Amino acid sequence: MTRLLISGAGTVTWAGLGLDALKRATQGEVPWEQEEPLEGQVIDVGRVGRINDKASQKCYQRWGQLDTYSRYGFIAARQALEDAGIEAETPGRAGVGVILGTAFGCMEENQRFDRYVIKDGAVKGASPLLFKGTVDNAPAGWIAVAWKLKGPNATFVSGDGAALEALWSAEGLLRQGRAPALVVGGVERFVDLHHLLRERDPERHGGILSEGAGLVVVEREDALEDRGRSAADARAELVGVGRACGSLSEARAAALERLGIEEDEIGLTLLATPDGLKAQVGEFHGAWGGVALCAALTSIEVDGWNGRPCAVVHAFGEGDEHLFAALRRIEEQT
Amino acid sequence: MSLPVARPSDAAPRVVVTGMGMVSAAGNGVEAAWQHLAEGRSALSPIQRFDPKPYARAVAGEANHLPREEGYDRSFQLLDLAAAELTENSGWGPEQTGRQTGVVLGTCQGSIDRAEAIHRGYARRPHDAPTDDHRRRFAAYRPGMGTARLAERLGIAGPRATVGMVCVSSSVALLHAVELIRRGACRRAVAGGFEEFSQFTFTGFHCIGAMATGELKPFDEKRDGTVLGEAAVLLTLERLDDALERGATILAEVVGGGVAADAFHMTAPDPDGAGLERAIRQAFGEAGVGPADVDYICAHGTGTAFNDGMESKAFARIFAELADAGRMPPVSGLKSVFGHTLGAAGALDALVSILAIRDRTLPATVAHSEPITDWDFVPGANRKTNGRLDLVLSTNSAFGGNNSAVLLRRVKGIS
Repeated sequence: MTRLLISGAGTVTWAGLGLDALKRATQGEVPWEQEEPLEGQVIDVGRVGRINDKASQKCYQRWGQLDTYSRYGFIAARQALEDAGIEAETPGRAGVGVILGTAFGCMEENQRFDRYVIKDGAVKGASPLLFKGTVDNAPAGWIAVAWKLKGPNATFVSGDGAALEALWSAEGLLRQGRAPALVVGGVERFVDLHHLLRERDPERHGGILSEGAGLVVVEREDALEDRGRSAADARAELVGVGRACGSLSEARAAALERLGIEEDEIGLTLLATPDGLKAQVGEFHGAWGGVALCAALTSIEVDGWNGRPCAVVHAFGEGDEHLFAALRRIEEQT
Repeated sequence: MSLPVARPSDAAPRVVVTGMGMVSAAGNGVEAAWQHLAEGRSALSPIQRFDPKPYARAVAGEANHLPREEGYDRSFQLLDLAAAELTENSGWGPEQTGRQTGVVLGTCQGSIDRAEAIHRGYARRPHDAPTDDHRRRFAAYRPGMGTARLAERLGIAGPRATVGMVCVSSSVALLHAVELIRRGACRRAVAGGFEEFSQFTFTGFHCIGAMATGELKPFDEKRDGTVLGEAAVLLTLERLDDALERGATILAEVVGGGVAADAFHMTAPDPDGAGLERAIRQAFGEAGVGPADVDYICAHGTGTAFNDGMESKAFARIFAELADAGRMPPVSGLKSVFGHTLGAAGALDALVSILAIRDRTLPATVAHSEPITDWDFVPGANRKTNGRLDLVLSTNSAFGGNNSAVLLRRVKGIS
């Protein structure tokens, strides 16, 4: 069976664009932004804001039409595709697909579109351009249109586990031969309304709100070789995504058993608990799994996963399910 | 590289549909919907939810038999009713709850109707202190909340996922649920979709000029747009071996699926239908079947010039040899009865496809007078067939350039 390799990665966070910026954030080198959602309540946030990325603008003439949520996904996809070396003339590029996850999706665009009014017996201010952005799959759509990626395209709106849900789906699609490679991960844009969640359920949503995207290109090894590259050019192998219900420890053990990973192979575990990586990078909600995958990739350079071959990224699924993505270092590189 | 789509391994369990639940403009229940098609009767009616005068469009597929209850989420109301029917006719009981049961739903806008109140209230004054009502409404806003609600109601503790892909949401949800079972994440799952009728979405379709001026007429020369509807549609999926063991009614098997992007435009489909063609060919590859095996096509058929034109082109290429030989499978579009139910549309089409298999009856394209090709669009009312009706292809397409195909087959000797 062909291996699945992570051949590219890209991120958008408040720390900046790219894995180096994320690495600085994980090391506590980038201060949080501060916002005052309610009078007298100043909080830390990982806000990116409406971003204008000249490199993205250069590669897509309709960049100006993209809503902020889509821009995060688009920029991370651009970086990931560039990192993977997938360009216009890359063999098989048309078969590449996009599988994304998000928790809140197009909420901002819904809010903006909903400013239309009924006045003098007519509908005023309903913008077709804004309506285009009122779909949760907008980032996946824009990415596919811009790079002519005609493979499978899907968007999961499955809460904080959405990005790993997308990765679980992508793993199956790739193993079934439905695409040579897939752009996979999570995207999240938060709006003022999110502060309501913190108020309603501070225990669950009391962490620092952060937004952005974390995307990787997952590619079949045979496809990578078809375009003249080898596993040594990839960042890591995706062993797979395991999912199980129950307590965190029970679910972890069950998922790792299914993935065939031994405990002593694991040098890095990024849990989605408040005291884990989230304390450094924020909540990210539906983008969490994608951002955490990218953080795991940066960690290879930092500590080599403590000399062990595997890393595990965890996300809370909906209900009492947990998802675990397992990565393995490329032997050819070690 | 171009890869053949792998057939599921022999070790992967076969996944069958064993129950259905539905609520729509045609009333509560699967049989009410089927009766409308049998009689060739549209369920579209004058809009009740809001004053439609500013839009110069007066009809929709609202479930007007269900009064809107203040403080009760409309999408939850639809889901609750569909779940009640599902529980009854699937034969699922306490043994079918717990961690070995999953749920995957698709929706376009979730509980958008309640969210509008936040948009128009709190969001315009974000520095005001929020009220409990704001917090409750916001918590229900997230698309995944419908899935969570259904899981709690049915005692489902296994995998939960929600797909947000506009009009292909619930067909992709169905395929994702099949994958969860095949890959061993659970033994059974509820799959489907829901969509409530809202002024928000109506205004959106109005402003992009996608609404019909009169009747919704799928695959008709006089088609000029779509009409929105609302529905919740649910199916129970389980392993064939489990279904046989418990003596369940096996309605059909999900034998193949495909999803592909147009990569053409965010709101307009690829006019050649190349993305849809890829999705269909993937489904054929997975099922190990070809065009000649298909007995009926349940098409997306939104009634817009772009969608129906695109679908026709994709079908024309795939079924060219059969069409030339006068053996093109019948094609129909259901939206002139139910309206376009967006996030529920794929599941609705799958459900009606299963009824077609069950009753060996071709579902009708109601409001159809001038077909765009010489194919059999089953005009008027449902038609019983004496021919083979074992394999149905159900297709959907969506904003974002997404296309999906689902293949449902009679389980011979059982269904």
